Amino acid sequence: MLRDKDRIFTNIYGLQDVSLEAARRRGDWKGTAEFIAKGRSWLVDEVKNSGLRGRGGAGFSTGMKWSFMPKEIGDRPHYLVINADEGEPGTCKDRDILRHEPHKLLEGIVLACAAVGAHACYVYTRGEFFREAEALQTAIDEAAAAGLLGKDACGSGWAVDVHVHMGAGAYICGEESALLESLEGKKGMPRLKPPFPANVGLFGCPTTVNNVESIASVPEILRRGATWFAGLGRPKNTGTKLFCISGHVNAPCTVEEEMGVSLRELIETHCGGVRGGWDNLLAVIPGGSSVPVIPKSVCDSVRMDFDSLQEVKSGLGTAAVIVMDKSTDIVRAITRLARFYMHESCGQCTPCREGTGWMWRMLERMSVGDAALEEIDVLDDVTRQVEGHTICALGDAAAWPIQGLIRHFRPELERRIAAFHESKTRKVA
Amino acid sequence: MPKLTIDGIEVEVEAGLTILQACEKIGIEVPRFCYHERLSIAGNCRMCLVDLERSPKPVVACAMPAADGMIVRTNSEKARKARRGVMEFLLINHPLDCPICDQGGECDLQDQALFYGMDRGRYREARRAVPEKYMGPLIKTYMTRCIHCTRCVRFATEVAGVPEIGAVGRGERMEIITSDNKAFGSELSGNVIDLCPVGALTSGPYSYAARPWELEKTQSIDVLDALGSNIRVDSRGTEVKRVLPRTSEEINEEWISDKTRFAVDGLKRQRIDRPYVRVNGRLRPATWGEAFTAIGRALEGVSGSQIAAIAGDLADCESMLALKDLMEALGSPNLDCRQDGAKLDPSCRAGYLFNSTIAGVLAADACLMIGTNPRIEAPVLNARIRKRWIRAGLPVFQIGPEADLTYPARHIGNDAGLLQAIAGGRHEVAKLLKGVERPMLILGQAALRRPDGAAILALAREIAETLGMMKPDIGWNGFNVLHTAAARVGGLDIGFVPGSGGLDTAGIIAAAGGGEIKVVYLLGADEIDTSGLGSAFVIYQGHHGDAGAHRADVVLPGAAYTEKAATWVNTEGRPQRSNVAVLPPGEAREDWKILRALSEVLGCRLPYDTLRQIAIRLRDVNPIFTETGQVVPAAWGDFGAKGKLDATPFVPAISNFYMTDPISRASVTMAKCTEVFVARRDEERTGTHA
Amino acid sequence: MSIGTRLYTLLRGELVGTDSFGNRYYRSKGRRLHGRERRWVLYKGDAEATTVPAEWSAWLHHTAPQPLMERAAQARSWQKEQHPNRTGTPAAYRPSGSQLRTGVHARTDSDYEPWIPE
Repeated sequence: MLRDKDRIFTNIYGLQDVSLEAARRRGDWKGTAEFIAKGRSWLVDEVKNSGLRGRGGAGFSTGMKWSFMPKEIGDRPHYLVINADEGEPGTCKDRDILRHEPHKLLEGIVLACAAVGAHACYVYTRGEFFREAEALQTAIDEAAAAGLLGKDACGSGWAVDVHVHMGAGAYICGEESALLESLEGKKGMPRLKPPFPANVGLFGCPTTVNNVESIASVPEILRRGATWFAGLGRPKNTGTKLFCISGHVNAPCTVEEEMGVSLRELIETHCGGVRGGWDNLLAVIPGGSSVPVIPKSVCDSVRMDFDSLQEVKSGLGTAAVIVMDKSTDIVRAITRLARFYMHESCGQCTPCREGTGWMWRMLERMSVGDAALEEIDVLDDVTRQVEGHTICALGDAAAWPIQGLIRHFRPELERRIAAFHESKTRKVA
Repeated sequence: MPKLTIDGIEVEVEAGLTILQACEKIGIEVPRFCYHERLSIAGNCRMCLVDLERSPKPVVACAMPAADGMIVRTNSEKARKARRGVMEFLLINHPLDCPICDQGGECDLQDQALFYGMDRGRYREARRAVPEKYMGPLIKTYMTRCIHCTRCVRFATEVAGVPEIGAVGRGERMEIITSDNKAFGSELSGNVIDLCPVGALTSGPYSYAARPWELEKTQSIDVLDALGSNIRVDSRGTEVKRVLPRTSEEINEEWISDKTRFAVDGLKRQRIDRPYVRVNGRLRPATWGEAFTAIGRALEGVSGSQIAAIAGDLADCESMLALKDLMEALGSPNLDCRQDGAKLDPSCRAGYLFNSTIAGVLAADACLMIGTNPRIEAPVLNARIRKRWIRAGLPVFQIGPEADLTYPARHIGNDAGLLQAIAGGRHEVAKLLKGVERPMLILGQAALRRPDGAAILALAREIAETLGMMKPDIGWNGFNVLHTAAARVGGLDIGFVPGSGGLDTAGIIAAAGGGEIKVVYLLGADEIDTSGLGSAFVIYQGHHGDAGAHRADVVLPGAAYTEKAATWVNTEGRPQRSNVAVLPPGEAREDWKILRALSEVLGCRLPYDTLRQIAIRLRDVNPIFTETGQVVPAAWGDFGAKGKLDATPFVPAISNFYMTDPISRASVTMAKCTEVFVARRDEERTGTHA
Repeated sequence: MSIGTRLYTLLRGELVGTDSFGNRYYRSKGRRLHGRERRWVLYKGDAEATTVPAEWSAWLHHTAPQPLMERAAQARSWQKEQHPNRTGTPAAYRPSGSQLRTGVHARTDSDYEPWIPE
């Protein structure tokens, strides 16, 4: 269990004051200018050495991402874009940061801007995060008034302007290139890669897109040193992480824990355990709706980090743990997710546009058993035809939960189909 | 130069090419729907997925730049499986209505489904149905067939510059619509029909008219504007069914204007199919013999100087040459091919050509437009100018009526006096033009038709000379005249202009009105003031019963451009040949043959009996006809005449793009377009309107 | 009609009957081929198979064992008289709209619309 002194987000529950003064008391904005004075490469290397992996779902090394930005600022300005379009079902960590720890984010922005050579940062918040955007704007105003942002941020000589842009509620705008399109005023549709945003991003300029939590962790990492962060968790899966546990637990919560904590420990320590006891557990979606579900047998021993979950053919994603006990109709649950992806597919590329609807319709029938046994294989085949063939990761995200369902709950699907056909025959008889 | 291996073949390509382009270089076809060479890359159909070594996922060939050391397999199991999957997805919501679909037989989806599709469907759910959309009288929609490749959207925004087509909704509910459900108001709108890989956007006038395999395809040349776009005439039996563009990098790339494409139904209406002779004030059907005899009688005792000839906008070089030779034999110096009275100077070829060439526009650095609106006068050229603007932000300055050109243009004013200021270097635009390497000017017919046309022409020459538009050392000639008539440059090239002491168009009409000219021969000339011809005996030779035929005393039925093998010279000075797609209707004949036959009756036989002989005669008259399809750079010289400028503003050369010549005036489709796009009466229509 | 046919008919043929066109129908006397008697026709004039009336055609092709009676040809009010193929003759069938029937070209969609001066 994470010791209290190792926590980064000390006010994640908003129990203390959110103001700049209170944030300073908690240690924010301390020594920011000195870090910037150490130069771009130091900042990038320090974050790289800390092993911080992007907290938005894909788990790409943040320091590495920064290092992709051009070393010299050419005739095109650099931009930092913060992805606060937290739309992944089950995830509510960035929202708490925006509400209760905005200064951690802002300080991270100043440091990240210095690290990638940007003078302007756009925070793209989800359209529904109205109050959160307000809270962030208040914090920006406070910080700007205190000289922490603006022409001479924190007295470092580096100019940083932060703009809050509210989205309109499309899940796909959480994908970095769709987010950039949306930010440019266009329809939120993912771009083709390459070119990557580090070369051609916002308004055609080099851009780094980072998750809120990743950036908000940066100041503490720099203050306490990369070795401190790297010492937490497991190799390649270092540091602390905000976990959002929801579903059939006694006390759903967002909690900061060490990477690599076991799932069972996470649930039992922080959430009061599964409703009806651990043995009443059916399955867990460990990383937000887009990762495959894992059954109880896997949950018993799995550790919550990127690589461990990858080994059990799931993923850490946003670390939004959705717990389902035995009262859950697992097929309906996954069907609901499939419908979500059909609804949120942008419609740009073929496999996702056509495949998400097909998968949902098949699952709708399968959830009542109105299907042929062979169709389970057809469904599995369709998910594989979508997976990896799309422009962005939404296709994968739509396919994985269904693959997880078929992988672990195939007998349940078969039972339903058999029961349906039996009831039909009986009716006829 | 990255070197990569595709299907075991090593290939070295220029940097910046995509895998798909590299594949095409070595003749490997990669299936695609959304990719189009002349549009931006969307990468959304996912049909071109190929297997790239060391990449866990298949990559889209159309968007992935070729890099050194790549090992690409276009036909591995992984690539084939990905393609089959995409094809299945495309087909699940595509209706199986090929038998009643106009795209059948020339459908990308049909063809590729044959090669890359599965043999059976696994989709058991309800299919998507999308309501029809209204896109105007030219484009018929069947949106259930749409596969969302967005080619039409990209064409509208990028090439046409009229961003009125877009996609609304997302996911499965994404639909292609026009903004505000209005007709797609581009002069190039018909090209989306060619671009659409399926039958979602089809030709309205051609709907259910024919199947592609039953059409005879004839390569030809368009004459409805002065660009000479390369076209393919598709005919069945005696009827031209449709016109499609042919790829020509020099002229029209692969676009054609809506008039070129859709005015062909005018070829079936108001056709002169037999000779007529005016008897007792009324035109009566006659035989060829009777018509020729009537002409012979009218010419009896008439001296050469009392005869005149005017050639119209659609006349071909062969018939103009035959008429010129006939007039010479009759001793008449009164002939003119400039029926609009444009003050073009036939003495210097560079003075009436689009010297930069159409493709050369892509090298221009700045453009001054004088009395021209290329969007209306030559939409395909306008797309080229727009392309230059997209690539390098071409600064455009406009003198003349203000017009939306689909790219930003600075409107300086509508006053010929500005030219003097620019020529004198006093105007700021003069400095801007002088400051760039390859400035160009486009002189339109609106400027040349004015009484002070010759003075404007001289001023334009001065501007070209003083502002660095003439740079022979880098092969740049920035002086351009944009014509509106297909016949004009050819007429000037063969010297269909007044001989010594001869009268020009205005002079001929005045003299005919005054009685000095007794016989006027109109070779398809309809845009003149026929009421001013007085009591002169008028012979009209042409294919449509338009203004000229109504006034005529003898009407000779000629052939339209799809019905004769003939030569036209486009505005660049590029001679191009058309071919016979269908035969002329009724007793109509190819125009030069009519003149050849008439010459015999008049006792001055023209010395050519075959097309080959007249082609040789053409070459003798002007060597530019030797090189068909080539532009021979014209020598710079002195042209135009200094004079006083008029204070009146410029009047547009063409008021209605859809009706400029006898063919388009006879076209029902063009009449509908006029109603919708010019009179803007398409409000409150939806897809269910017919 | 070859010499062989004529000779064979003379030697082996037994006349069965004659139809309205004057075609004569024969069968072989006694000799059988593939287990049945041979039947043939000698045409009057040109050999034109469509001059064989239905009742004789049936007999000729062994559909009927005996030649149908003459009256069989006119047994029903709806039966039409046999006539030989008229293709190529002036009486040939011309569908409605055929230019050969009326001598006038019926207007179609693909026709042009001529200009008629007022």
